[in-house]
Amino acid sequence: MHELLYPIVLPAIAGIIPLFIPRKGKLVAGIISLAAYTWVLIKVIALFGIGQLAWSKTLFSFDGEFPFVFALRLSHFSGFILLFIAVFGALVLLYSLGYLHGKKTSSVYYSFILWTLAAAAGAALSDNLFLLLIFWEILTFLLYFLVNMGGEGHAEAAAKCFNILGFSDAAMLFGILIIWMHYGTLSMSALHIPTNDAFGAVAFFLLFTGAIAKAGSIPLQSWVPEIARPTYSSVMALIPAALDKLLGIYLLTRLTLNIFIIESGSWISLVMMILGAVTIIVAVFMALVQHDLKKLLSFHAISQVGYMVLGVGSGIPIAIVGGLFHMLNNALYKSGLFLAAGAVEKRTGTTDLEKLGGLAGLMPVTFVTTVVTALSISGIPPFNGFVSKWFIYQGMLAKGGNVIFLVAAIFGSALTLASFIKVLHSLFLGRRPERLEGVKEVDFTMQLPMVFIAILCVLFGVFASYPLQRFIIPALGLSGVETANGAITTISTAGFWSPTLATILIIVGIIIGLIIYAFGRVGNVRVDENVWIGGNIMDNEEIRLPGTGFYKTITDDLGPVVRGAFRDGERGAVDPYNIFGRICMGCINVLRALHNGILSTYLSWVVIGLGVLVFILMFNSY
Amino acid sequence: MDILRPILYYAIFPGFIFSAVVGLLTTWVDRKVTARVQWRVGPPWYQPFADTVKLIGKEVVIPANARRTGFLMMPVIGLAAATLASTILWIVNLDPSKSFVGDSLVVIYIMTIPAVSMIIGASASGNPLGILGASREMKLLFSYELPLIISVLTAIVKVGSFSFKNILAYQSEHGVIIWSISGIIAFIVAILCAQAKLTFVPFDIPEAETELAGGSHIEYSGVALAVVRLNMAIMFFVLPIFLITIFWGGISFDGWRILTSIVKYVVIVVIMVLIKNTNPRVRIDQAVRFFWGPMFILALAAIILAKLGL
Repeated sequence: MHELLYPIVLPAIAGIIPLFIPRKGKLVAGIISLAAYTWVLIKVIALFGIGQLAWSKTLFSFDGEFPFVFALRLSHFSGFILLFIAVFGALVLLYSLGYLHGKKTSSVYYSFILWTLAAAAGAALSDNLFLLLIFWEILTFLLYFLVNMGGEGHAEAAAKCFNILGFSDAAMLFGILIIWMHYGTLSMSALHIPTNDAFGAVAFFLLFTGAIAKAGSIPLQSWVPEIARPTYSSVMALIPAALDKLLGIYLLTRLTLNIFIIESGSWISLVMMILGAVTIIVAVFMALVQHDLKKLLSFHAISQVGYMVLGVGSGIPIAIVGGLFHMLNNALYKSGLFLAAGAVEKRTGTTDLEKLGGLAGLMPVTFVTTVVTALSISGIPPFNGFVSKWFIYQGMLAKGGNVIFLVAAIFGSALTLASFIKVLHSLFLGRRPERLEGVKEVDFTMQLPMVFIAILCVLFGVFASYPLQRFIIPALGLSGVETANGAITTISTAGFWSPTLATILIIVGIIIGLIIYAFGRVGNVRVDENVWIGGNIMDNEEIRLPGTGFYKTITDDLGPVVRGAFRDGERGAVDPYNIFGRICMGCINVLRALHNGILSTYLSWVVIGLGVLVFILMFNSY
Repeated sequence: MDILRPILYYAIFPGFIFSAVVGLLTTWVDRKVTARVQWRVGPPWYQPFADTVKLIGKEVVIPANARRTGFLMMPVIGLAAATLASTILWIVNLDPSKSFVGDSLVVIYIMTIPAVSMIIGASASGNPLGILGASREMKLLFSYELPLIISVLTAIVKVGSFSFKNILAYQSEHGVIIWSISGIIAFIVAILCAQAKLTFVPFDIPEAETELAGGSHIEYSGVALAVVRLNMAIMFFVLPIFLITIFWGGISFDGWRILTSIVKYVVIVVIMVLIKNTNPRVRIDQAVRFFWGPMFILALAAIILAKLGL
């Protein structure tokens, strides 16, 4: 078997094993899956080391026409995507061992996860657009099953997710057909389609639909928050938070840089940047007012995609670098956050922010990892989110960028911070409800992935030039990217702010502060049992202030327009899925009115139909 | 040693010791001017230092329901970040060649950390009034951040570069930014945002002595309160310097320009203190509306004027 087939075929085969293991033995199934996937991870690391490789085989053709080529191509870009797919896969499999313990889940879960990983590897490696679409569809299909394994409300959520992703897959199919008919090839590395004619532009937007629906950008975002609540946190951490971002933005980057020729500053680029900026702001406002942790995180998952679309869509080299680095960083901290949400859910049984609080001392590991990932997503220096946003800001000031998008990006970042302050307060800091006394930290298998991800968040921020030089710049540089503003390989990270020095200085500052504390008598503090409010001692439940009310000012006090917009957004009125659903329901109601249950009506329909048929047959003589 | 020099810069000059001393002196200016406005005599110049020393000696009381480590660590982290902002600003002012790409935005980002650490600290205090103060401070933060960024971007658009070096070079060549139409509008917006960033009246909503009894500071005492105060003093020092660097030609230490630098600094501080003393406190929703409404529009107007070259 060719090396390139390992990451696809091995998990696919290993995924068969859990099918034969009964529910009681799901830990065994998990360990087998993890062991098998660790082997895949090692293979993938070796592949990443090789760098470039290609393999193809024509599976079938009709008399030499319409060949279906199973073409795989490893480049520095797809290698890097594949590497992180494998890393996240292994982490989530490890996490699942503890997370599923005590849940009524069958072992098939592991089959679905392994197959998802196989399909994701296939999508990352495939060099044929049609093959890519097939893997894309398999992912959609498996996600449907995984969502359906979740808790209350899973059926509707899975259906919505399947519909939206299915719609986008159909759009991709049309785009691929257009490309096939006009350019005669589907090989991704051979296509360079100009977008200044109608065919190119239409084909681009059809494929673009597939990419952004998977990544979860406006207007096809609404499946992410819909599935967030019922779905397992481990699934959320793996698929919408990590794999879908990696693959969606991977495809978007390939589309904008290789497959289609898009000038920076063209109208297509402008459309993408507007979509990106709108996504950032709208989604973060919706996130601000959420009451459920997983739903809140899913809105942030959408908002962050805005940065990537903005960066990659701009066509400005430095912003593309930022967009791609942000994709990697976002995959890290977002899956870290979902894993932490899963840990809290596991121990407290809820993700409702109003019912939580004061877990910092009880779940210290989860707390610290959440703080790191939350500050990363808010773009606080020196964590990784800052560096990648930073490159995007930089690009927006360059030629072809726009200051308005820069404002949207920075402002979105401030709102993200606000939203995570609410999360930190509601989960970990505020007063602890009595119900949660005695909550314990999660198992080692769940801690390890969270800690690993948090460490990567810090390292990728403090030593940002390493991931940039190792993953991002080779990925772009060696796929032959030449944009209007020069080759991407010429970007160096010298002269940018040095996060390492800043980190050292902040540590020195903290030491200075601690010295001041040492001078004071902070060692012998007095602990005061009571909280006095207005001269009275209040009891705990009475003065517990959950973070859910933090931003009521924004939703309630800023006038009817803002209030209306939020209510609209909560109900999902601006969601294209619902609008489309309503139009379809209208059509169905017309048809329904015809079904009145009276035999003569049906008979008359049959007769009319027969008449039409006869008419057609008589007057269309072949 | 390569690493020792920045650490020395950071710890002594122009970092921690220098910023803390000048910051505390600035709070004295604040108290003195306030006293004169209210027809009082006001404290002697060493009063802020005496207060700090005394606070360091006092007992620390921590509520039983507070998350203790977070509660005590947060002021320290804020202090570290405020000092870092001050260090970067002074180093680029004294030696523009030390400037790096986009340091102006880095400083804006770092200047949010003291506020954020205050918010997290208050949220960890377990006191409902503190938490109320924290939520107000957060709302205030993201409401003023929007016009502040746009007004700073006005200068950046005018100069065409992110870095302090080019902003300073542009101003010494073409005259300071404040003497243009877009520049003066942006400066007015920025100074009001700075007022909110320092939680000075009329934007002292998170602390609101009369209704929240100190709000986000309510549970801090002893040395922790001293660090909180020091933090605010350094921010009071950093923000005027930041405004001077972006809009008013920067600070310089050679010859007579020392004097003009000090005058610029004192003028901005006195403007802030006067605004503080002549206004009543607004409500949080009024503040949000103010910053997202008139201030946002003014800042946008400034940036459009800057694009037009005015």
